[in-house]
Amino acid sequence: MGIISIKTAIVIGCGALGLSAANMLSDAKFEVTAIDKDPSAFAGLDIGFGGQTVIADGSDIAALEAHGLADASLVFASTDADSTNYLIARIASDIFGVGRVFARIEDEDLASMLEEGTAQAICPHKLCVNELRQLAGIR
Amino acid sequence: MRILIAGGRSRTDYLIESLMKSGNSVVAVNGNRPWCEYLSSRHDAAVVYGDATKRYVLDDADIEGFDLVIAMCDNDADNLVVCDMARRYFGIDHAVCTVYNPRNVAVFKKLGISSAISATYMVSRLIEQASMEAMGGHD
Repeated sequence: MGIISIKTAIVIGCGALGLSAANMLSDAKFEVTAIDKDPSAFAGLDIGFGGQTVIADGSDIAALEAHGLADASLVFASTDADSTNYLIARIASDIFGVGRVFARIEDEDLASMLEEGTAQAICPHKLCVNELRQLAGIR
Repeated sequence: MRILIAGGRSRTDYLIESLMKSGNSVVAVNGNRPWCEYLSSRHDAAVVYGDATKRYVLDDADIEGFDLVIAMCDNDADNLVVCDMARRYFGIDHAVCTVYNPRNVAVFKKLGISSAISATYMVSRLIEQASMEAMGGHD
């Protein structure tokens, strides 16, 4: 039959958002590498999580490269620092040519700057306010 | 030249003095309030208190069309953001970006930063050179 393609995903920063993303991607049959500098962060991964965990600083580009950043099919930068997520996303998209790159960015000016390239920004507070608007029936 | 200096501590004090002596005008943006007060008491430069990675802080600094940005924050990713913000939103094309991780010199250049310098790298080169000279060419 056809060629079996392995989809690999790297999630950098395992707070609530990164953990949920890693679990979701693992459920969706991605081979996930979850990265955080604090090993206790991985406790929040599902029991069924099939990926690997790596203890490393998300801003250490050599460490990310050593764990397959260049060959990933999807990268999600979800540390708690906008600048770090921006740096990771720029490197993944502009230097390594990763096709699907997403970064958690709270600052809207930084988000729109990032989106001038191929990476996409996800802005949690903006999504929450939209949800609030809908739930509260405010138009 | 009109120069923006973003972030940094003791190094900025000497740098501002030296740049102003050679006839440049300088605006400093710094996130440490006591340090801002110290800088503005010592130099005839505009000093803005705030996070230099935020567009609204740079707006306050009134740096539109400046010739050069020098990014000296404690965090490499913050420095990339400062340089990119300065270029994208304020038309400052020339940047000197200091980095702590010597490996980021090559990375930042690939991301379009005109000049990235690492003190660690430069000092280790100088020490190496001085060691060779001290040995008088003997092994």
